[in-house]
Amino acid sequence: MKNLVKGTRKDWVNLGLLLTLPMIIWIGFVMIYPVIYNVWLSINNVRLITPGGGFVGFDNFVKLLVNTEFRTSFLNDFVWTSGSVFSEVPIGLGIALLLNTKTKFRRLFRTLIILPWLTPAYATVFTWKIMFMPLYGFFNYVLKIVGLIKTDIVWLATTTPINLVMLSCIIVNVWRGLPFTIVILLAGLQSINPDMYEVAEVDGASVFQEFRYITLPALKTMIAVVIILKTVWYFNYFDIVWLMTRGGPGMATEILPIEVYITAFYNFQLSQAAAISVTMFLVLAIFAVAYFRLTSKGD
Amino acid sequence: MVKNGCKMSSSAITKIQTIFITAIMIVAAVAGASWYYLSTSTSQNRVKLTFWSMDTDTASMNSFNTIARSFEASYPVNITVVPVDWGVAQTKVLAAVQAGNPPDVSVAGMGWALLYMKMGALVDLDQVVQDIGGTSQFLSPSMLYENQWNGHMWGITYVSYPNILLYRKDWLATKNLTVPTTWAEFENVCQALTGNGRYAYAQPVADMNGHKAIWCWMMTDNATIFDKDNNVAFDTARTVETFDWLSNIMKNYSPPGIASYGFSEDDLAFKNGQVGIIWGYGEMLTDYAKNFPNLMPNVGVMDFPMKTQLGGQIGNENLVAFNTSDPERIKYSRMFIEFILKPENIVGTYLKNGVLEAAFPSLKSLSTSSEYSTLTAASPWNSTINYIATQIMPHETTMSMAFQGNLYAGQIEGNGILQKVMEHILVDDWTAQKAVTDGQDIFKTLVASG
Repeated sequence: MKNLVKGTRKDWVNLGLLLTLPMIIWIGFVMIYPVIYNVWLSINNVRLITPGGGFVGFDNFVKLLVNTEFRTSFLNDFVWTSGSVFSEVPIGLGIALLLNTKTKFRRLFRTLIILPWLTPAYATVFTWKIMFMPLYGFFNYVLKIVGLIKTDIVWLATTTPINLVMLSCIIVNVWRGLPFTIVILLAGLQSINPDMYEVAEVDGASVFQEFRYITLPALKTMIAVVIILKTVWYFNYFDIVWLMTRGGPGMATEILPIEVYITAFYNFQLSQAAAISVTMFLVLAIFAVAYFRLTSKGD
Repeated sequence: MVKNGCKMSSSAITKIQTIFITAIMIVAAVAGASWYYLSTSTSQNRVKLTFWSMDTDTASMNSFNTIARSFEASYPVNITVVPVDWGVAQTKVLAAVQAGNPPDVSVAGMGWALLYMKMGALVDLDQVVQDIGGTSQFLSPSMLYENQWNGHMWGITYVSYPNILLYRKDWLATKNLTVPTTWAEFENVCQALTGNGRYAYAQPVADMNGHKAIWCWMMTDNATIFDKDNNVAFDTARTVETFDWLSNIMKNYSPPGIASYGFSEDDLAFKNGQVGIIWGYGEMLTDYAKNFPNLMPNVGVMDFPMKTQLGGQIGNENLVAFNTSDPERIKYSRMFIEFILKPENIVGTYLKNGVLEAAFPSLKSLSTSSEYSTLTAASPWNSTINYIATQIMPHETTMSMAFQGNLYAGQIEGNGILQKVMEHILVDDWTAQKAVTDGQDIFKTLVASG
């Protein structure tokens, strides 16, 4: 018994490390090794179906610069990401402000807004695609009834003068991503001291002035965090666009994650696909640094 | 003292618990790894095979399981039949091959056998072909084109799905129209049928059926992807003519948003009475008969109207055996494929449980077997089956293989190149020439990249 309890703090630390070692190895294998392997792929020439290979340096990256498909996908991804993020944040803030007021059924509404988040991606896309159908879709039906249109809008096949296909994908994405934004911003709103609003009211401030000089400054950091996180997530997002359009028609909605998938698994160019994903990683690293700086400021 | 004694006891017990839990976890991990190893290797002297089936419908899965059990009764083999959806099959097989863990036998789509062969993933089926009577048994040259390379057979077709056009007999009758047999007649029919909220024609464009529908029309004008010498020859006058004509048909006589149509939208439009002629398969007839009985009496089947020749696309489903480096598994894989092709199995079980007016046997011995004659004679679709088998199938080819096989059919299908060409015309307003030239560049890049 005496031997069993003989042990310094260092012994306990070593025991803790020993017990967590399997998990550390697993994380290294599942997360760190694929990243390193991906970088290795990007500087070699590896194809899925034909023999070949060997170190090529930055050739794959140079090819990307002259590849029109990559440039188109990059631009599409920028439109997709910025369209989603900068629609979601104002709408989310507006809904959070509404949910922060003392209204009847507030708790019920706060529960209901989670529903889009809970719905699986496939079910979401399947339902929205039916609503977007030109002949039988809900949107065209309503727009015709209210007299806004006379002929059916082809939501998932019109790319000029406005890329309605991309717009449709963004609408679905915003619908699905709103709950997270609302929850975060609502938490931020509830942390603002209500006394500040009372003082402002006494001083004669309007609702807009209260929003501009109290609410927004208090939420500034939280909004920035949401924007950065959502940018990182949506830049990498695959499922909504793939399920909606598979990147089509043509290349109208081919964003970078879809291009990676097509390059790797349809064109079988593993190294080229790795080069695209390393490029994406570097772009997103900028946002990651911004996020860490922002959150550490708060500490 | 007592207090200290209690503290010492609880800390000791915590240590013992920790060590005990760690030991259990290690034992569990070792046991799991051992179970996995044992379950994938030969055990109890029975060879374990996996068979991946892309025919994931209940009837096909039941048929394959019945055939597998029957094979197991005669040989020391355990076969696991695994359903794999068509949409992800090629990617999953390629990933499995790269991981060194392919199935033993698998269904393969059009041209997939040569794609896998290119990776060195398959074993040849020369002996199986010899055993079933040689290559002269195949009912269509397309079955050789997509499975034969360098004098070896890398896959064997077990069923074929000819593409057809389904049309509303009542619509044509109302307008006193006859079934069109040429492009000009087809365009006249489309013009007559379109109007008052109705459209004449629909076909898939956006999904993987899109390239099949487009290839059907290309064949009716002798437009190809590869020429007789297997060089890329997509950008030709005939190809431009086909895309130009077909896109005009779709722009003028198809429902809005046709570029976003997949097979299900195509089918839905026909069922809802929005469209009078659609691209499809024979199995749609069974669906209509069962679920839309009022529609069925008005549905007819027709061949693709020709411009310069009769054409169409036939979807062959093939069986391949993978190189698992285990001689026993390879031996039984080949034997299992040969077993599936016996009349009592492919006809007596698979086709009997399936859709006779959609799936057609691949071998002469099967199509002339007493089992097949009995089945078709008893089927309510007997006249349709005969019409398709004798009037449509003989001149249909497998996608991208008009003259011979090529190594790129699987990638062409996966990349959706023909669909992209059509989408550029329908959505981006490119001219047919511009879109076809762009398509030619994509094909050349594909071939150059191996």
